[in-house]
Amino acid sequence: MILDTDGMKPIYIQIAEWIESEIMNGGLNVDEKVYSQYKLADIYNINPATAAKGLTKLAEEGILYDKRGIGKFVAEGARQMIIEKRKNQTLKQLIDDVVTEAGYLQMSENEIIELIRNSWKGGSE
Amino acid sequence: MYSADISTAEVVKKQVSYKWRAYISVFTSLVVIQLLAVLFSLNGTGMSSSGGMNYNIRVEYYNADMIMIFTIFWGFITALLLTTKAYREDDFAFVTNRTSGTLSTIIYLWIICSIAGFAASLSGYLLKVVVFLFTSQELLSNNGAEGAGIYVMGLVSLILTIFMFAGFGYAAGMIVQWNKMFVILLPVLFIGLLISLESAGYSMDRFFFQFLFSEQNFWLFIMKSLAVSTAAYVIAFLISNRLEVKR
Amino acid sequence: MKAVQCKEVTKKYGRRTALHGVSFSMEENKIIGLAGRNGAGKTTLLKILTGLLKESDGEAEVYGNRPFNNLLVSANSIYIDDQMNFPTSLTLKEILEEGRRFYHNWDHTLAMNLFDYFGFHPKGHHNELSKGKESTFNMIIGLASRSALTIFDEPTTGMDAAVRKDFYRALLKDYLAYPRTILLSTHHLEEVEDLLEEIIVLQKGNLLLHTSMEDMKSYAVAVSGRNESMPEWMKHKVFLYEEKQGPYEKTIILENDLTTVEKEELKRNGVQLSAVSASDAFVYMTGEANGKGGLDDVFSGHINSGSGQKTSQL
Repeated sequence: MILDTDGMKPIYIQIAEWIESEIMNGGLNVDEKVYSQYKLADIYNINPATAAKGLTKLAEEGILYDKRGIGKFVAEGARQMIIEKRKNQTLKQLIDDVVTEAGYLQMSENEIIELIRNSWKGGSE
Repeated sequence: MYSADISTAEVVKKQVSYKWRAYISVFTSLVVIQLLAVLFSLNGTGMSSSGGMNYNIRVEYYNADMIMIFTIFWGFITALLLTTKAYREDDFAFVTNRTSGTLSTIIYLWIICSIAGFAASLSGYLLKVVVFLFTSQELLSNNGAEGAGIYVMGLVSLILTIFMFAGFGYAAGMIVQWNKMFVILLPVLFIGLLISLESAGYSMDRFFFQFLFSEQNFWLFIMKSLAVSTAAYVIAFLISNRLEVKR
Repeated sequence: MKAVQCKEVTKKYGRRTALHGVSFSMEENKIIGLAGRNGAGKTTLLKILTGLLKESDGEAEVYGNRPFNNLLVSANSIYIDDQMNFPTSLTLKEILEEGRRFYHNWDHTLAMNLFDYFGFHPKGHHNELSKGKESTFNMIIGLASRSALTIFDEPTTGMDAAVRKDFYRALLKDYLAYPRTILLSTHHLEEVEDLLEEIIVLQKGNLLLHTSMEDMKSYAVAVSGRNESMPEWMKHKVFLYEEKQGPYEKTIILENDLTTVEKEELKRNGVQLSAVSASDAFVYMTGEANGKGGLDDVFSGHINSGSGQKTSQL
């Protein structure tokens, strides 16, 4: 992953999202140790406190768990939690944006649903 | 990372050896200045001649005064130079504070003054050798019967004198670093004091030389010159403790 | 233990006051940036912390000790700037040897490896180095000393971009291996903002800001759009900078205290919101331009006042 250092998104969130992606695509399995803040800092050339913030965020959400003095590990059901989170937050945000944009364009609810339906079919084919 | 285990003595020791390595070039100037003094001394400091019908006696006096004076001057200038900005910043390139910096400089000055004094005494011999080799005169040395004791006393006195003048140079340099006005003020004050004392009937230089160099008792001389040196170095020390390092 | 603590530190040079009662404290083992425009008092502050200068008023403490004339502080800190002075008679290698003798944490292997990596000649002399090489050499001393408080004052002067990158990388890697308090003052804030944990901003001898880098990065937000699509309540916001873009559009940099509702309203009006990087935020918050208009105004005023005359400046 290349960090987007100029973007709106804070780096610690990008770090957290990168770990989430690793969990999602099977790079990190349940009860596997996650990179330490120092390792992450070294990999991404960032301050370890920033990396730690990303790890802490995931720990607070229950995606990672802490073993005192050893590090952070992937929690049971982490994948499910990430999926739920992305549904409720990322996806919802995207849909909100779509609806807002549709409002500018004075589209009806049905037109939007139709668009999504077409896109869905196109994507699954 | 942090260590509270730092001793001033240890740092001073490191600084003395650092200065020894860093300022090794002071000995180049010492050699040059002493050779120059030997050269000047070859003119002889006095001459008398007497003659009769068939003979003519010519006595030329050579002595090593010039070498000593030049060496003392070298001590003064070297110490003065050590107070200049570039040298003081060299101090602060590594671990130091004013106390350790000044202490190590004083110890360093003592070491190089001792070497300079010893070298000056050897230069005296060099002078004799040169006179012996390059002139057709008979050499009548007047210190053949002196013995080691006298030589050592002379050497110690010489070293103390160089060290004392180095102290004057060091103090004068520090005063100037403290306030640049003293570059002009210091010589003016010094000469002014000499003249005003002279006109008031006191001869400053005579007083000074009587106080120190006419002292016949060797131990008393040591005490006196050490006291004067201490005064000079204490002044330098006190000033350096207030100096900031402005790059 | 606090690595650094400043209470109302003031420094006067004759009649000029370089620092006006600056107070802040720094936790141990962080990399902290010190930013400020030229003449903001950065160097004065750093020199007080390493005991090179004495505060005129107030108290500076480093690991609980007053730095001026303090051997403990000197032994546990190092100040690296672009005007380091070393004895001219010593070779570069000999200077590193002296460093090894003086600093108790000195890592000579690191020093020699970096020395070779950057292609220094052991018999070279410090006063013969180019500006960039000199800075690189000083940086090696700063890193190898492993001082509990390591201060770099404009360490990258003269370095080319590749060397600067190497330096930041070396700094981070050595910090990760041996955490210590590092204070870094630089004009290239954009290059180091991801390395820093906190930032201290000085302006005209005053402490303007001491905050985490994350907060600094979200300190300001850029709002740009058509003049008429800016809502009324925008007037009550703190503008850091405002720039007209053509006759109908403008960009406003403001302190980032927009609520979600406000953001949504802006988006609905077709106004674009974008992030302001820490270094840009720094430029805006310390800008001389505030209230007096930007540099453009200087020139427009100049041209107006000198109507008809040729402007020979610039």
